[in-house]
Formats: sequence, C-alpha cells, structure tokens
Amino acid sequence: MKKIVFFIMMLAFISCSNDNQTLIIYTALENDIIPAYIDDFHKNYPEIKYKIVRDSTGIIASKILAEKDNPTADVIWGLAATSLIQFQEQEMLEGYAPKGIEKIKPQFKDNSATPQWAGIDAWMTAIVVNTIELEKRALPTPSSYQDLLDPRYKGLITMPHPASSGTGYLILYGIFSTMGENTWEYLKELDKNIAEYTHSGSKPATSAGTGEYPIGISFGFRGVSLKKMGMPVEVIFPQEGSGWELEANALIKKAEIKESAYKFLDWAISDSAMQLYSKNYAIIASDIQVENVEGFPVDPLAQMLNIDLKESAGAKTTLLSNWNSVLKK
Amino acid sequence: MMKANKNLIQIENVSKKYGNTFALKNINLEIFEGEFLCLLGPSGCGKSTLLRILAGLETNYDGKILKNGKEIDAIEPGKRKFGMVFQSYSLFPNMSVEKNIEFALKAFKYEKQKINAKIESVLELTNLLEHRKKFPNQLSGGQQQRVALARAIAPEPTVLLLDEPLSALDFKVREELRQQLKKIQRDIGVTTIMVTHDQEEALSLADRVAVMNHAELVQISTPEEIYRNPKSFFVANFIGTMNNIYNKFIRPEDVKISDKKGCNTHSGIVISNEFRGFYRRIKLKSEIENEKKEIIVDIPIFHHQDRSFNEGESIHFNLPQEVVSEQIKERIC
Amino acid sequence: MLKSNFSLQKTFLSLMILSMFLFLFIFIAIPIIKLLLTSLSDPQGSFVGFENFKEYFRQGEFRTSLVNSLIVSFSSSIISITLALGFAFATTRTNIKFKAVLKSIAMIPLFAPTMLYGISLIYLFGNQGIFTKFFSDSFSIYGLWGIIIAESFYIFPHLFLILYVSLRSYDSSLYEAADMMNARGMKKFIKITLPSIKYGLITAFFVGFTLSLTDFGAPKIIGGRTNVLATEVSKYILGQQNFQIGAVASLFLLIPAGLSFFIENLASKRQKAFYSHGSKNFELRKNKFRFVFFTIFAVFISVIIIGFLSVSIFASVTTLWPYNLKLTLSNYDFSRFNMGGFNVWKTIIVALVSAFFGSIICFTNAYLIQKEKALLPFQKASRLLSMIPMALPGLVLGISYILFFNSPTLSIPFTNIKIPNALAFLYGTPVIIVIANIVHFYSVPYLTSTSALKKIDSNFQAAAQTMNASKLTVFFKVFIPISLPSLLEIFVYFFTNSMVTISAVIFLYTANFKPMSVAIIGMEESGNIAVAAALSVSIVFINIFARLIYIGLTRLLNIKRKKWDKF
Repeated sequence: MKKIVFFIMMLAFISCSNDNQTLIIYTALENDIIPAYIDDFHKNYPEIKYKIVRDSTGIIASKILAEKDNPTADVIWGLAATSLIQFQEQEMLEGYAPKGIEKIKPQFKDNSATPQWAGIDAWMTAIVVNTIELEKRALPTPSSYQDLLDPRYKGLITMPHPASSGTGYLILYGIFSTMGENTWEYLKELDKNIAEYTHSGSKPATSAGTGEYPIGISFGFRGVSLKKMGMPVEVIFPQEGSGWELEANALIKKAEIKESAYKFLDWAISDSAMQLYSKNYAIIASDIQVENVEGFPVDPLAQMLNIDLKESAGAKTTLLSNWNSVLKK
Repeated sequence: MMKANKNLIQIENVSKKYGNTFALKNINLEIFEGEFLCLLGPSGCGKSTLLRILAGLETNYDGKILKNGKEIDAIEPGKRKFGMVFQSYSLFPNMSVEKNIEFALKAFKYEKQKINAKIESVLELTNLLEHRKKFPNQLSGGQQQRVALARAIAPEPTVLLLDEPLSALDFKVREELRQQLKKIQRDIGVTTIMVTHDQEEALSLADRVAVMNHAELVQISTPEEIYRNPKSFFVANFIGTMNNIYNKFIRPEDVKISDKKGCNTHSGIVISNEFRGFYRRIKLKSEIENEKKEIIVDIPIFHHQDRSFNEGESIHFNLPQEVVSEQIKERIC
Repeated sequence: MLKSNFSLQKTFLSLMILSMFLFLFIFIAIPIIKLLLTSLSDPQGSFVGFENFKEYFRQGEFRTSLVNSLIVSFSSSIISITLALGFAFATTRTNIKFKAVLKSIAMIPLFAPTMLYGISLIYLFGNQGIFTKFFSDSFSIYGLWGIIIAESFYIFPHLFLILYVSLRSYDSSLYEAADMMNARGMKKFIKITLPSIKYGLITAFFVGFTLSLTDFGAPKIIGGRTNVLATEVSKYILGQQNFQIGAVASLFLLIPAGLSFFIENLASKRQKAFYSHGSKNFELRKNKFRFVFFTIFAVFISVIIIGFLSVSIFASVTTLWPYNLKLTLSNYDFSRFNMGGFNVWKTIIVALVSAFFGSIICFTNAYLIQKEKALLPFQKASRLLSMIPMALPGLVLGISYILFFNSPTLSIPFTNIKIPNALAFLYGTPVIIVIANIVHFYSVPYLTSTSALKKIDSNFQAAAQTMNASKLTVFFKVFIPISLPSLLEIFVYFFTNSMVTISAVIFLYTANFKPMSVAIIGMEESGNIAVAAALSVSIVFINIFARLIYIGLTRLLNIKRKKWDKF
C-alpha cells in the first residue's frame, strides 16, 4: 500500500518535468487572455506540444536573463520590447523574419536586416480614476498630467516606481519625452501628491479600482479590464499623450532551435492571431483592419507619443539615477 | 580457580593515545578460558577503553589482541562473538524483552526454530520469564540490566564483556544482582571481563583482578592476594583503606586499641569517630612518623563497648608485630 | 601499528557523511558563493571589485531602507515576543480551558502565505477598510506600522512555538523554594521564569528578526512609500534585472541575519547548563486572577487571528469589494486559470515530495552529525552549514539557484579554468523546487531532529555492533521507530512551508508546474484580489487538513507507543 502511494506520488511528480520535444514559451501576456489565443495556435498546429510559463514582466525578464547561459525558453511571446532590446544587446536573441513580417508597422519591429523581435500589440499609459471616490470627495476628473498637480489630489495618487516596474519607467520616459528638462520640476511637484510608488505596474490601477487610492497612473489595458470586471473606474489617456510599450516576440538563441519555434512565431503575428489580440488591445502591431476596442481612444495611434524604443531603453540608466537624485529625501 | 585453564585472550603491548595523552600504555594481559576477570581502577584510568578495544569498538591503537593465538584486531565487533553489557543497559526501548533478545539472535543468524527455545532458556536463566512481553520502560533498573545480560549471553558468546553493569543500580539491587551474575557466569562458564570502579564488587566477583591506574596496569592477581599484598600504596589504598607507616601498609582493622600504655603501644589523639554499622572507624593523630601522622583504626563494634572515643581523647594502640620496624620498637620500648 | 578495521561498514558510513556534506555544500554554500561572485562582477562576468557596491551606495535608497528594515525587524520582534510569551504562558502555566484549541489557533498564521495578512490588513484598515472610518483622517495603514503589524503576525507562531517549548518544562523546585520564601507572582516571573527561558527568548528574538528582515511579501503590499532592504532586492532583480546590484543588496540582508546566527549560537552554548538539571513538570495551582487575566488575553489573541482569517475568507467570497458585496463562490473556480497557471494537485504533490525527502535528508544528516564519528571535520562542517538556511532569505536563495544551476559551465574564481556544471540538468525540473524547499526550511527540522536524537542512548550503535547487527539495521529498527513522532512533525513542517512559500520558488517554477502560492501574486497584481484571497484561504485549509491528519496520526502512534515511550 505504502509503495503504491509512493509510486503514484513519484509518477505525478515526474509529470511536473519538461520533456525535450515540448516547445517552451515564456510570456508576460495576461493570464486570462492567453487561453483564447493559444486555442487558435492549437487549431493551426495540433501536432505541436507546448508549455507556457507566464509571469509578470519583471519575473519573466529576470528568468530569461538569469538563464542566459543555458536557456530554457524556446520563444518569447508578448514581452516588453524594452526587455527584448536588453536581451538583444547581450546577444541572447536569434534573428528570424516570421511569415508576414512585412505587415508589421516599422516602429513596431526591430530594424535589423533579419529582425530580432517583432511586435504584436502596444499598450500605453493611462490614468485610472475611481469615479465613486472622486464624487464622494467632490473632485474633478483629471484629464492631463498637468491636472494631477492639483493640491486637492494630495495623497490620492499612486504610480509605479520606475526602478521597480517596467510600466513605471514607461511613464517616466513618456513624461520625459513631452516635457524634456522640465520633467524633474514636474516630478518634484507631483511627488507631493503621490501616496505610494508601487512595485508593480498594475497596482495603481487596481488600487484605484478598489478605491484604496482613487487615482492611479498605470496602463490602459489594466484599467479597461478592471472596468469590465465591474469596478467603478474611468480610464483617462492624458492630453499630453501617452508613453507606450510594445509587446513583442523573439526567438531565443540556443544550440538547438526547434522547428516548432519558427511555426509558433509565424502564427504569433498571423492575421488570425492579430484579430484575437485586437479584442484586448487598442493598438496591434500589424496594419490589418481591426475593430476599435471599447474604452480606448478612437485613434489610439494619435494618442501615442513619438517614442523610439531603443532610445528609451538606452536612456534608462541616466533617467533612473536622475530620478533618484531628484526624489531622494 | 580457573588458572589451570588455557589462555584464551592475549593482550600484547596495547597502547592508545588521545592527542598527547595516553589512554592506555603498554598493556599486557592474559585472560584464561572460563575465568571472571575484573578490570578495576578509578574513572579515567583507561579500563573502559581497554574493554571497548577488546569488543572491537575502538580502533586505531598500537599493539595486538590475540584470541586462541590468532590476531583479531581487524575483525568486526559482531564477528568476534563477544557479548557486551553497558552501564546504561542500552536496551532498545521500542522492543519488548523477548524482541530485544530476538534482535541479537537474528543478527547472529540463528536458525528460526532455535530462536524461541534460546529466548526461553536465557529468560529462565536470568529469572525474567514472566516479563518477556514487557518493554524496558516497564521494568526496574535491576530487571533491565538482567535483560541486557540475557541479550548478551543469548548468542552464546565466547567472551562476555561487562562495562560497569551494576553501578547505576541501588545498593540492595546491586548486591542481589552481583550474586546472580556470579551464578550465571559459573553456570554457563563463559569467560567474563568486567570493568568496575567498585573494589568490593571486584573482590567479591572476580577470579582475578587487574588494577589499573593512569593508563597502566599496576597489578594483577587473585582478590585475596591483591588485598593482602598490594604492590603499591595506590593499589593498597584503592582496595579498601590503608595506613602507610614507614612505607609499611597496615590495614585499619590490623591496628588494635590498647587499654593502657605498654610495650609496643603508641599514643594518639582522636580526631574523628564514625559509626559504620558493624565497625567503628576512628582517625587518630599520632607522632609515630612525624608530628601530624594520621592513622585510621577500624574497631569491631562489639569491642571496647565501654569506651566512647570522643574527639580529643588520648588513646593507645598496637601495630601488628610483623610490620613494626626496628625503628619504632627502639623508640617506644 | 594503525588498525583500520571493518572497511565495509566504515566506508559506507564515511560515504554517507561525505555525501550529506556534499548535499549541504552544493545546495547551501555554493549558491552563496555564486551570489558573492556575482556582486563582484559585471554583467559579462568579469571581476570588477567593489564597483557594484559603490554604485549601490550612490544611487540606491540604501540608508533609508536599512534604517527602516532595522526598525521593522526590531519592533515586530519585540511586539510579537511579548504577545507570544503571554500566549505561551497562558497555554503552559495557567489553568485556562481549551489549551489544545488555543494552541492550534496560534499556529494558523503559519498556514497562510504572507499575502493573506496583507489582504486582510487592507480590508480591515486600508483606506476603504472596515474599521478605517473609526480613525482620524490622517490615519494610514500603509507604511512602517502596516509592515510591523503584518510581520508581527507572520512571526507570531514561530515565536510562540519556541517559547512554548521553553516554558513547558522546567525545575519546579525553584518555584517551591520561592514559595517558601513567600515570593510574589510577579517577582517569581521576573526572577525565575524569565531567566529560565532566557535562551528561548534570545532564539525567539533572532528568529523573529531574521524572518521579518528577509520577508518582502508584506512590505510589498502594505509598505506604501516605505522601502526596506528586502524590497530593494526585489527592485533591482525584478524591476531592473540588475543581478549584480541585486546581489549586493542581498548580501546586506545576509549580514544581520548571519550576525544573529552567531549571537544565537553563543547564547545556546551558555544555556546548556540550564537544561542539564532534570527538568520536572510543573504542578499548577489555582489562582483566580491569573485564570481570568490569561483567559481574556488568550481569547483576545485568538479572536484577532481568527478575525484575520475570516476577513480573508470574506474577501474570497465577495463579488467585487468594496462596491459589490454580494457573496459568490466563483472565485474558488480555479479551473479558469489553468492555462499556463497552477495546479492544486501538483502543488500538493510537490509539497509532499519536498516533505518526504526533506524529512529523510534532515533526519539522516542530524543522525550522522550527532551519533556517528567517522569524518569529524566533515561532520563539523555539516553542522555549521545546517544552520545557515535559517538566515537565508528565500528571494536570495531563488536567485542564487538560478545563477548557479543554470550555468552549463562553472568558472573557478580568479582563474580561467571552466568546468562543466554536472548539476545543470536539474534546472527547469521540479527537483530544483523540491531542493529549494528542503534547503530553505532546513534549519528548524534539523534542530528538531537533533534534540530528538539527543534523547537517545548513544551506546545503541556500539551495543548493536557487538551483536553483529549492521548500523543500517539499528538505524531503521531502533532510531527511526523511536523518532517517529519527531519525523512526523518535521514532515508536516516541510509540507506546510512548501505550500505557503513564494519567495524562493517564484524564480524556479517550471513550465509544467506552478505552485498555488506563486499564482497568488499574479492574481493580486491583476486586481483579482478575491481570487488571490481564495487561493490563500485554500492553502490555509489544505494546511489545516494536513495538520488534522498529523494530529490523528500522532494520537494513533501515541496509543501504540504508550507502553514503551517515556518521552
């Protein structure tokens, strides 16, 4: 009896391991939207066995980087391009032009001869506000970054810490690209109203959703999905324009690249996949015609600031150390 | 006496060091078949180490151990077939009395059908039949030690090693068990080596006593011989109490109290007086050898019943004739 | 002449001792060395001296986070020790009722991932909290106080257990002597009770200090603008993927923890004399004041603990807090997150496997260190290594495991020699999670095994040897049966901790397996707080269930052992 239990236990335990044929996909896409996408992949390639490792951008990026010398992942699917650029610089990626790469808009893919990464969607910063809480306090809804300086918002705003969260840095870079050198003056002022710099990019939105802190600088997708969950939030895209980040795919450089990896990357920017992405994201990387997503601006591309992702990645160290010296107490 | 028997174990030049200190220094000892040998000495003298070396539990020593003329130094403890009993009994608490014995028999690969009979016979020998199903924790200390003994003798060892087997027990139980132990040893005739620091135990049990001190063997002889003719003051004093007067050893019971001053009498002043049941022990201060010489005198309780021997009282005593030196005689008479 | 007898037994024993040492060295020492090397290298792996340290001091919030960490660890240790001491006193030295139930309640915080306290605290005292309206406007749970409360909660059961054990038995003659001298209750407490549990108190303090220093779950949720050392580490590693400076920050987490380990070691040496006198059980006398006071106190603490759990249960069944409080069970329908997500059964299996091998390794190692003498230097080294995990933050363990096990080759420091990493194959398998769990929670079960083994006669092996029985036979037929209750206790300890742990495994989980506890973080982050609460509550109940099985088994065992077990 004991032996049987032990045997079953070990069998179940072994089933937790990976085998060699399985395609390993690392992704930072949201848990709840992955199933719809991957079903489509499975329909197209029923023979390919795959496993998905999904976690937040920070953890996935840390994992990939820590696994640099001996990569586990075969492909990266929907991870922040800023991280991919970092991998690119460390020569961790393998160039590959998936089928249909020409349909991807130029600002949404790597411009190397053989692109090292290709975008699928972009998301942008937004201010998520809790309508009930603002009403309770009889406060106006802010519509721009400038509005957030209103002293009546003191202690009501949260934003992600740029050193802790990719979204946080995106917000910082967005502000920097519109305000230039005035950025630091602005941030000093804003700091007076900030209740908390969070460690996660979503947290300001969810805090706004539950009313913990009525105003959260976060990203549009999170705000819109909270609204769909029934939270009393409004998603505001600031008048100054939004910083944005691309979610992109890439092939990991390793000794043995699986055939299925290429197939997956092909599928991941195919029209059918793009159609599915467009149900959740206002901006998709390919130039196919899609329906507008509820809750986002009618012309989302116009809301996006003119940002070069590589420049943004390159400026990170300088901007973060400036941030530290300006806001250090 | 078993002296006529042939030599079973030979210990040749055995030394062991812990760091820079000797635990054993050049030990040479023969053990005869069927005899009961006691290793006697104060704690730390190396007697237990010697026993553990015999058992094969200690390795890395110099010298040789021979059994029937063959070296056994490289033989595992179990393969030597020596039974051993520890002071702490070392009975397995999770096994009943009979399971403890069975454990030993099984380890020695006794045939299954013989095991039960063997358990039965050793339990009978040790008077434990009624306790066979009990666990060690349900037994008294004396009973536990009997179980340990039964467990050790069950596999019919060639030599039985006993490491202070009685010292954790109460006086009464110890006394009782001592007799049982002696009887059992006689009955099965197993060569037995016992370590003890209790001289009374050693004298009453052993055929021969080996006295050890400071890692060395100082004397080996029959109990009587050791008591009567100790080779050194250490042995003399360790085996009972001894007065040393001008390098002559005089037992306290050999000093006689005299009622009046006379030829060969000496005088002293009582410094203490202890009642010890069947005798009385008196310490005297005398001027025999030097001004502060202390002499111990044991007086049987039915002698001198009319005297009180109070502290400070001055009394007279005689020393045995054969040990009194010319020196003393001349001075007193 | 040198005798080296019975080669087979001895070789086997030496091999066991050596392999146990290697296990500890590879899985505890090498990752730390790797971390140290990382802190001295640039991203490409070349040696840069103290550049990363300089960088960290220059730009990090090092000083503030250090000060905050010290305040948090110190205050929560003191608060929790005070409460745990009261509770332990109530359950050992008074006549209050339902002690067994109270004791189980005190253990509840041990069964929950730290996220649960965070969620409960926010529901109770957050800006929308149930109680918040009773406080002034300037009140905020976010910040130092929030962290301190959450940490005090988190460390309470650990401290309670330590103090419970120290208070349970002692020399009653001291109290009888004091009674003869007509000493008062409070005076007896200060003059006799406190000194007699001095070692327990010191241990409790350092365990509490280390645990609260290295935890980053609570500060992350409830810290507000307050930075502590642990969040600094997560900021560099998770936020910026800067492992080099992350390693520097991790080393700072190790220093105070390491220091506490040495001070504690010192204290335990001085305490030894206290236990050697036969400790007798205490006869409780009736004391009305004591009864009433401690009943109120114990009920108060229990209500708080159960209250916290209830709030999380409430959170897990509300539709959308705080705006739609309609009750629902839909948050417990985890099947909709299965894709790339977690699996309840696999989580339990991995925890069971961790517990199974953890108990075996831990007990065997404690046995080899405590009861055998074959390769003394290795035994001593193993003993030292066994105590290190206590001071090792999970986050640091996880990162150093990735860094070490993922490199296909290892370069020997300050040379150009590279050797293949024979253990790289473990990476990406659940084996590494099991190993991380075993190592992460190693020290406490090691201490439990050691104290259980200390009670066993050290002549058993010698006795058995003269009976021709092998050491293995004695180990299985005597040592294991005698230590079965302790082994069970260790097993449950490993299981419970493997169920709740997040920090180490968050880096190590595989494509095929994600533990429930790790899934909580993702859920909380995406705003699915109710689901996060549901996950936490499920873990608590799985652990309570495991505990009940443990209690049942222990009872059964005690009936069987009643005849012979005197402990």
